[in-house]
Amino acid sequence: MPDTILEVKNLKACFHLDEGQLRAVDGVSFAIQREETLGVIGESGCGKSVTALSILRLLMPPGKIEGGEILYYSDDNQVTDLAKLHPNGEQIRKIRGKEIAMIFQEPMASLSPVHTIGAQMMEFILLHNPGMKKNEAQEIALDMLNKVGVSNPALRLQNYPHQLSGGMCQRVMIATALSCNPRLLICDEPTTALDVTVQAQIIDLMEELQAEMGMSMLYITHDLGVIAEVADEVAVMYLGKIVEKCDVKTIFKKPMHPYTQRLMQSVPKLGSRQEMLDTIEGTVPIPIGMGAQCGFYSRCSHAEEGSCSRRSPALVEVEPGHFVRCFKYGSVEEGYLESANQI
Amino acid sequence: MGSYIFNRFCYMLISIVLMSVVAFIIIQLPPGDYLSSYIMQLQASGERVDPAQVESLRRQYGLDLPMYQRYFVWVKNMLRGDFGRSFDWNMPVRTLIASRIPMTVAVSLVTMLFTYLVAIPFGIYSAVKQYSIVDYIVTVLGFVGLAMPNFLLALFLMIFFQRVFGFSPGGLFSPEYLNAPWSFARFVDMLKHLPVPIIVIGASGMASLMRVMRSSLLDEIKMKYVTNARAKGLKERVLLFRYPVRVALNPILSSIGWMFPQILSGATITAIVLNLPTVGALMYRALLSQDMYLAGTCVLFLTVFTLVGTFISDILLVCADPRIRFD
Ligand SMILES: Nc1ncnc2c1ncn2[C@@H]1O[C@H](COP(=O)(O)OP(=O)(O)OP(=O)(O)O)[C@@H](O)[C@H]1O
Ligand SMILES: [Mg+2]
Repeated sequence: MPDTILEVKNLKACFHLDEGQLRAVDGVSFAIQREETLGVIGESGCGKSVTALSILRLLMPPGKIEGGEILYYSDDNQVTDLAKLHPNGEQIRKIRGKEIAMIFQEPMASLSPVHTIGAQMMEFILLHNPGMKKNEAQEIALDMLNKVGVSNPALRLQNYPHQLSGGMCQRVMIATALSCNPRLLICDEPTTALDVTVQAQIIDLMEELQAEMGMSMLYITHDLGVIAEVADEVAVMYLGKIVEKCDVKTIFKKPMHPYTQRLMQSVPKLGSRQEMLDTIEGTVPIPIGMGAQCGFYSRCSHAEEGSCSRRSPALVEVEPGHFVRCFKYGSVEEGYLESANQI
Repeated sequence: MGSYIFNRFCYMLISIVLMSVVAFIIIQLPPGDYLSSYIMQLQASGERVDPAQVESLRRQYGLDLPMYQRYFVWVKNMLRGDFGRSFDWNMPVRTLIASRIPMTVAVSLVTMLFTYLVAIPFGIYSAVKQYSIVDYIVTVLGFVGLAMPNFLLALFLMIFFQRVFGFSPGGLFSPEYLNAPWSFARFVDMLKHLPVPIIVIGASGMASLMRVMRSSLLDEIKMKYVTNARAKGLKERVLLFRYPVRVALNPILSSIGWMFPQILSGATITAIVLNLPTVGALMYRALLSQDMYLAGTCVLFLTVFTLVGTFISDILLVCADPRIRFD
């Protein structure tokens, strides 16, 4: 696959807790194509952040990658399995920030409170450009701040994070992440902490910059509206598994998995006279010591006693390019057809 | 920033004035004054007390003035550098104190330096290697240091030094150097005597500082900005010292404010046990014998040290933590 930049195969990540083993990510597979955006959507706690952290090997104990491959295709088409690298080793550190950059959910908390914006930005620029002079790094920082629409960037470099608004902080984060020209940008809910107008501005900005710099993106969110705007390909996650995966048009036109359908119904539609929004009853179970059953069984309105409660379905290609994990669409039991859940 | 420091400075001055009043009142609180204990002393030794003589003494020392007047006399004299006379030692208070202040400050500062130099690295290590053997050992030693009374630790260490190194660590100098002029040999002799007081005075402060450092770093390590810095490709060690340790040091800086008084008061008890020539020990004796000019001056000096320590820690903290706003 020459056009692929990142390929995750059957990724499993667990937290070893006193209560037992929490399977936060349970066999996730996806691929991100060059200059395209994969949107990952799912409720809180479904394992989106753990997936993202695993890619850059940032998962800290008690969390651990238990299996799977994370194949990164570099510019010269060399393949590195990030899952096999030492988590603090030289190799992964060379990739972090430089090849794959990441933007986190809470911009304010993601910046050190006791260092100026300038000091933090320049530290990372200098780190990945050894031999660069300080004033050159400062030029780049100023340039990037300008690009992301920070007003008065020279002053901002002297500021501390608490002197900036949340939206401004997120722009700084984006500017920092993009200052080393990464090939892949992982965005873990970069706009959830911001108010709606700022959110829209940031998303527009990121789309613009992506086109300009030719980056690929992994965009994590629990907001369907955001997905519709940024994603080319969509993966819906539930309880550590991808339950549906297809291109962005199909997911809105023809959602197949009962969970995706319920997600769609929980969004207000313009012009429809819905009295109450449909919500998904119940909460996400905690994935500790769950037996073989469909993860959505306890909340699914199509669930069938027997098949759904005793076996967990595999992700199968129901239509060309449309993968669904549900017995309703003739899925087989997971593990029965190992190749079925790989692309 | 400038006005913040000026404000703090004014607060410090006001506090010193208030504390001088408090110090004065405390000294006046015990029933009787120096004269009554002097009279009792005379009577106990069987001497006859002449009421006329007592009356003249009373007038001579201004003990018959009303309290508030005595306070102003006391303050006025102090500002002129006259701290009154110690009845007990029969010496000017100024001479007594002057010989002890350098030692007090030296012992306290060296102790503090040592405390921080030990507590910070071990606190960091304990946090980074949480639940490791070293962490457990440091934690247990820390609790022992916190729980053990100073005088007991002093006695243990004295016995230990006597047995192992064969010299008595009491005082700051061996007898032969006690009144000798400064020389290299005298300095070396003092260095040999310093470890025990430093350990004894510093133990509990060190233990609590270590806990502060450990828990504050444990909190910081989990922060998002650490993950973010790691996601940028920073080396683990560089990252640790540049970000979380740097932030976790802020509570340590503010601890200077309470460490200094703790060390000064810890030094009092230790000084008595170890026979150290510090202001604390002097004050203790002065309070026992109701030697009010001496006691008052000691209290005031210890207070001033404490307030200056707090002032310095406030300024350090505001320089170190940009989140603190001056208003
Ligand atoms: N440090 C941790 N220790 C223990 N369990 C954790 C830890 N971090 C995450 N988990 C668990 O892993 C699962 C997945 O968490 P994750 O953070 O990936 O969710 P998410 O999809 O990112 O949710 P959100 O939308 O709230 O960010 C959850 O069940 C969570 O409780
Ligand atoms: Mg998350």
